Amino acid sequence: MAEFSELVKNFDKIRDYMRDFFVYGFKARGDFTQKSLRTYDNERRRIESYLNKYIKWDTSNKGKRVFISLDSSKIACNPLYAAWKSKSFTSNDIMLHFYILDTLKENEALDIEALTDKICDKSGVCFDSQMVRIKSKEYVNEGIITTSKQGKSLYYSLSKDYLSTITENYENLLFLLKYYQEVSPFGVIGSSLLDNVNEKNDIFSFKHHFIVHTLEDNILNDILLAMKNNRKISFINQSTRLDIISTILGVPLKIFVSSKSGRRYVCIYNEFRKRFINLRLDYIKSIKLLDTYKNIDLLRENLNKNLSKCWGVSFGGNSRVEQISVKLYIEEDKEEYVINRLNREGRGGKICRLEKNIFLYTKELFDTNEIMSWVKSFTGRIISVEGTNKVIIDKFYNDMKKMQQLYYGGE
Amino acid sequence: MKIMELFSEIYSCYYNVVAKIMNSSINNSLSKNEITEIINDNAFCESAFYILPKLLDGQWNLLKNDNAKYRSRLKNNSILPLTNLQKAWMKALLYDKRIQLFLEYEQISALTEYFKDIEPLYNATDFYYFDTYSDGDYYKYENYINYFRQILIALQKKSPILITFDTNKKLRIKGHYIPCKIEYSNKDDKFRVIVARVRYGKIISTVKINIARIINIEPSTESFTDQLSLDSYYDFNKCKEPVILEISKERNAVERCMLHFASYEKRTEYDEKTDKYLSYIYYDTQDETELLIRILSFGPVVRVIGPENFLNQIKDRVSKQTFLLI
Repeated sequence: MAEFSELVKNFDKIRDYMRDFFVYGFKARGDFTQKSLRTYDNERRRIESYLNKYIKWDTSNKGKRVFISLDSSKIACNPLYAAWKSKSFTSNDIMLHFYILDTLKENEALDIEALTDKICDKSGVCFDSQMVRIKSKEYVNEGIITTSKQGKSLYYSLSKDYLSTITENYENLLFLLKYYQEVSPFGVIGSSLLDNVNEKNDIFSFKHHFIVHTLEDNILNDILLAMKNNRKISFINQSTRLDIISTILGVPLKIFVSSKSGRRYVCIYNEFRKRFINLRLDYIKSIKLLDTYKNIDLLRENLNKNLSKCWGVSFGGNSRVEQISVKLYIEEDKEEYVINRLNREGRGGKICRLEKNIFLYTKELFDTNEIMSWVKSFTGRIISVEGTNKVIIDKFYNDMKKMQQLYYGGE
Repeated sequence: MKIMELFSEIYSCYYNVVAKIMNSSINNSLSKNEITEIINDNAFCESAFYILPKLLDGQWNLLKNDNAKYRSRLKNNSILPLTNLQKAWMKALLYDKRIQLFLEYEQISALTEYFKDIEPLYNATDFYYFDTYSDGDYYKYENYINYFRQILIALQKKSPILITFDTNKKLRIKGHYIPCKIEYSNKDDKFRVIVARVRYGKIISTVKINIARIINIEPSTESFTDQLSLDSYYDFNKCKEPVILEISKERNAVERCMLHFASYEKRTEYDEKTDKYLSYIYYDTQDETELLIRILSFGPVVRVIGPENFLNQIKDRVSKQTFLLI
């Protein structure tokens, strides 16, 4: 039996378990049916080790439930970044890492034979020069090492780009990293920069902060690369909700982000259906970059024209643009904050004062269904809802009846 | 076209903690206990169990024995130069609308020049934040930038400043405050500063101020030398009892709820009798109305079970709604 290790070779292995423990938290051991129970035990043990402070557990009829519970407004750094910092390596990897950096720090430039000799002297371990060459080449690709040619030989030098030397005001840079490591896409990179200089965020806290989405950053990285190079992509889409696995092909154009839930979607143009579609990044399993799409500027232009009619991520069905109007009762002398809410949350919808305390919100959009959660957040103030999508409007009135039954009973 | 790898051992927790051990043992030998302590403070919970034998028994051959202690075989401090991935990420930040809060114009230009051969990892236009509120802070406003920087410095020095600001009820307040944390909300696109009010050298209250509502910041005549902690602030504002939600399986409500409330401290369990889920959500009482609105947005697929005062607020809204639709 292989020895258990805290570290993993493949990121996807840890991604799904960590997500389930954090987002759902109600699953017991027996509910994890995708892989063997031994796999579950190993992943659980790893996650317990990474996130010890935040791990909670209790028992249900189905057995022990392990879950991650935290108030994200109190954390200084996303604890799920631990998953990104858990890559496994060999003994040679770690030895060469430290010896190459140390040797090149003392020597301006060395060819591979001289570098190997000095490492062997320093470490007392006899490394093969081919092994040192492979690792050095890897570090050239990472940008840690630079190369120069002297005659026929290739010389290796350590990069001189350090966080503390690239700008005069180092302190400002640290402030910046402490903020962006949580807020920016790929924040884990900022966290690794702070790790390198022994700094931690002691300045910022983050409200409405959705930490789980870091787990999709590999997928995001691939998509952005395709977008940068105007490439089409194909990927496996696995919806846990519908339990469907499908292969999807399209031209990636934009990443849609919800700041209310943290969910991220890739907006692709599907050539077969001749339409834009958004797909959740957390459902995407692997991405293949395909050939270049030629008329991408036209697609981007079309997408941008359509954005004002997207309430969220839906481009609607086959029907044309839909309309909705919501009449609200707001005591304007006392409840200015509700009018402010309409303005700041209404995503470009028109707000009209019909008479004292009566306001009308109207909007054209692709999918009325998407706006209804927001409309329902005004429960207690809604005089009427009208619109072109009768099915959704009827569903709203039905929901309000159900709410009455839910809290007051009766028919 | 090159894929830059995010998941790499060079950013790993093990490399990082070993670097710390190496740097601490160049000039001074470390005992096994001291090494264990560094691992426990900087790595995962079980890491010492895996790292220690490899480091001390020579498999990694980075330390040498020194009178029953351990000394680094390296001669220099181990600090990783910036990788291409890190540079590409930093280059992307230079185009962020909030960057001027942190860097002077000259500094942004100098860094842009420094990274001139690096492609940014992403562009701001690659992303579309479709539900961010439209009344976010205006980051180009000169006073805003000045106040933000003064707060940053005061926070770092833990020194009081005299702040004049308007409240949301349009009252103007002036007082001596020590900034404790700067809070950012992605949804609101706003910065707020959590401050402790000081009078005669003592903390008298803790409040949150919208940076956009600050009218002026001046040097303070107050001083404060004790330890500052926000624990009591958080404890004071934390709800006494969690809101209990009963979530039905209809309309994908369970997943939607779990993601929607993922930023809250919570516990969720399945109730076999009702075939529904119960979620216990802990929240900041200052944000009670926001939570209430968010729960209402789910409609009848989520029912509030308690506590009573929260339930009564929901019932009140439902009752008003029924009246309006009659």
